[in-house]
Parts: sequence; C-alpha cells; structure tokens
Amino acid sequence: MFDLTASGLEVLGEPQRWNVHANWKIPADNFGGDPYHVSTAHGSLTAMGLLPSRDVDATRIVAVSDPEHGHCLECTVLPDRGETDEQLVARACRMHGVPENGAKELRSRLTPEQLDSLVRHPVSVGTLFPNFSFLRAPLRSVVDGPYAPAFTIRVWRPVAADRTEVWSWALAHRDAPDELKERMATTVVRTFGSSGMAEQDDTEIWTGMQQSFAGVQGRQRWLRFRPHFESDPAWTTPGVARFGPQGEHRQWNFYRRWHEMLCS
Amino acid sequence: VTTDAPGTGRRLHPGDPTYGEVVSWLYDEAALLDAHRFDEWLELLADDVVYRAPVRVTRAVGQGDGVSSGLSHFDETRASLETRVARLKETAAWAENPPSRTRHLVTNVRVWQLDRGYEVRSGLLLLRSRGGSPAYELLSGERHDRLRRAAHDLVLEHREIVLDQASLGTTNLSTFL
Repeated sequence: MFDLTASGLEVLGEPQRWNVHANWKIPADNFGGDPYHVSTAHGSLTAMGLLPSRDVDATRIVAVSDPEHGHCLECTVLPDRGETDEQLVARACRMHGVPENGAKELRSRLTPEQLDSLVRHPVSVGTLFPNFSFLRAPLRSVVDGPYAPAFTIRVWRPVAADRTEVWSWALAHRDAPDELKERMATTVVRTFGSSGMAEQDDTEIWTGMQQSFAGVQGRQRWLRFRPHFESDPAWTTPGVARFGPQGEHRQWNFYRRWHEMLCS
Repeated sequence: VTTDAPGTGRRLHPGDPTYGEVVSWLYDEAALLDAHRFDEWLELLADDVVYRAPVRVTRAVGQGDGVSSGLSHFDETRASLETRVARLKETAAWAENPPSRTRHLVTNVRVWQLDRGYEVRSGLLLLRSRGGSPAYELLSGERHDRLRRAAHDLVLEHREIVLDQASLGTTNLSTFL
C-alpha cells in the first residue's frame, strides 16, 4: 500500500488538524473497518451517488485483523469482469493514482500474491494499532463528477479521555503529474478531513457516542461483540480474514490488545 | 497570501457609497448563511468562484507567514459547493441535522477598487452552537474576497479564509465560512 513505486508517496502539504470531543479509540475503531455504518452514517453520500456502490455492498468486503497486535483493515473485492492481467493492473493504477509508467514497477516490486491482492481486492481503510489509520479509495466530490483517487493517513492524538486532536494528511505518488496530485488532495479535502462531506458526519456521531459512553447507562452496559476467530478458508493472508460485514473480530482484536497493554 | 493591503487598487472608505454597498452585501451574505438559506447563498457566487481555507501552521519570526500553500480545509469550486449544499438537504447529513445555530459576525471591513471589481478584507467571527451544549464552537479568521459586478448584484469570484487556528477548535467544518 505504501511501497508500490520506487519513488514512493509524498504528503501534499501540512496536515489538517482539528479537535473532536471523543476518545481516540472511537475513530481508530471506525477506521479499522465498520461496514455497518456506511449506509446509515453516510446515507447522504450514497443517496447522491458520491460513494462507489460496491463500497456499500457488504458482501464485497473482506475484514482482516491481526489477533496478536490488534491491527485492522478492510479490503474491497472488485467485480471480476474477465479483464486481462494488463487491464487489471491499469485499473489498479487508475484507482490509486499510480502514474501510468508505474504499472511496470508494480510488476517488478510486488510478489505475485501482493499484485493479485492489489488488483482484485485492494485495501480501502484500516488502523495500525493503536492510533494510526489510513483510507484509500476512489471517491466523487461532485455530483455526477468523475471518481478520483483519495488517499489519507491519520494520527488520532489523544488529548484527554474525551478529546482527540486529528492530524490528517493527503497523500499522492511522488511521480504523479501535478494535476493528479492536486485532484487527489482536493478529493480528500472535500470528502474526508475537517470539512469532508463524509467525515463531518462521522465526527458528529463520534461525539454523540462519547456522550453516551460517559453517561450512567453507558458506563453500566456491556457491549457484545460477535467475532469469528477463524479465517475464511478462501483467504490465505496472515491474520483473521472474513468475507462480508460480520467482521467484529477486528474490533475484538483491537480492544483485546488495548486491554492487554493496560493490564501489563 | 499576505495580510497586508493589496498592492493595487484605490482604497474606498466608509461614507463612500460603494463601500456601503460592499458592506451591505457582506451582511446579507452572513444573514443567508445563518438562516441556512444556502440555495440563495449560492446565487451570490460567480460561476467560476474559487473558495479556499488554507491550513495554518506555526512558524517562527522570519520563517514565513504560517499559511500553508499545500493542503486546505476547503478547496472548492461552484460545482463542489453546490454538491455540499445539495447534501445538506439529505436527512442523513448528520453534522447539520439538526442544524447548527450559527452567527457569522463580519467586521473590520476594508475595500479597494480594482480595475474590475473590488478587493475586500474583513474579519470573521463564527459562533456555532450545537444541540444542548452551552459551549460555543468558535472560529475566527480574515476573509480575503474579490467581488465583481454581475447583472443585478455583486458576486463573489474569489474567497480565501485565513483562519487563526493551526488546530481548529471545532468538531468539523460543516458550515460555510
């Protein structure tokens, strides 16, 4: 994801920073992969056709977690229309803003398994335990406009039990033409980040969750996870991987790791 | 970006009818935003409007003006602002449903006559109240606007909002600045 080309990625300017009245684990958990919330939290975007429809088709998601370290991520299974290998690599380059001459590099730098993963079920969001997250997806920022690659990385900086300072960077491939870099930065700004049409609704919900957790009922009630601990046999990558939205092993493993650190 | 007065243009002072017209335009714009009349607000924007709010950074004396030339909080065209306005009408636009109560206070207005239109600098204090919280979310900054004359009224062709905070004290930017 971060090492596709020799020249690598670059951050596009300084990060946006803003403050959310929520514990840092709420956004880290959310970015670790939460297919359930897309159709409700981001109903406005799906109604306007700003999210690719496959992103809300929960059967086309693979949830992956690392039971030892608590890392979580989500892959989007792309439709298979019988494309040739060359077409698949070209599609991956378009989706992720890899410049055209990068296709050859992908083939030489990635193992066949890594390349297959990139072109058929690329990583879309995830959290490296504890508070580093990423999102990489083609998104629309204008109704009926073209999809553009969006790539953002995050640090959820804990300020207090109920406050997090968000650091949000936009990324692009260093070799990409300036026009593409600008389009990638603009797409991140309009969809995610401080004013992003998706993330402004997330931050509102995180704030509400924090208020609920801090209340009398919130402190007394148990939250039940229904994790699957066994990988789907069709999936051969390390960690636990399950098709579909029942991916609560991610949250389970994230909080289990956090609990382990607290108790150590 | 510079917070100095623009290099060209003739300064228009209070008492000048055009100065009054520009100030009235700013007040009317603020009223539309605070009343959530965003479709009417869009009518005040030129078709080729540029609307940006650069990220602020903290720099030592002599190390730059602390305005990022890279990433912005807003980086908008008319089409993207229309998309944002259309989205706010959706039920599931939770950051503004229920809507925030806002007050756009526009002060310290300075106007320069350009060859074609007007350069306007003003101070913005935005107060935002959400839900039942007694605490305000506050944003302050300087607007750098360029207005031009259209068929019936002045329209905004360029706005840069130079915010005062490097780390915003707001949960999000779901209102227009």
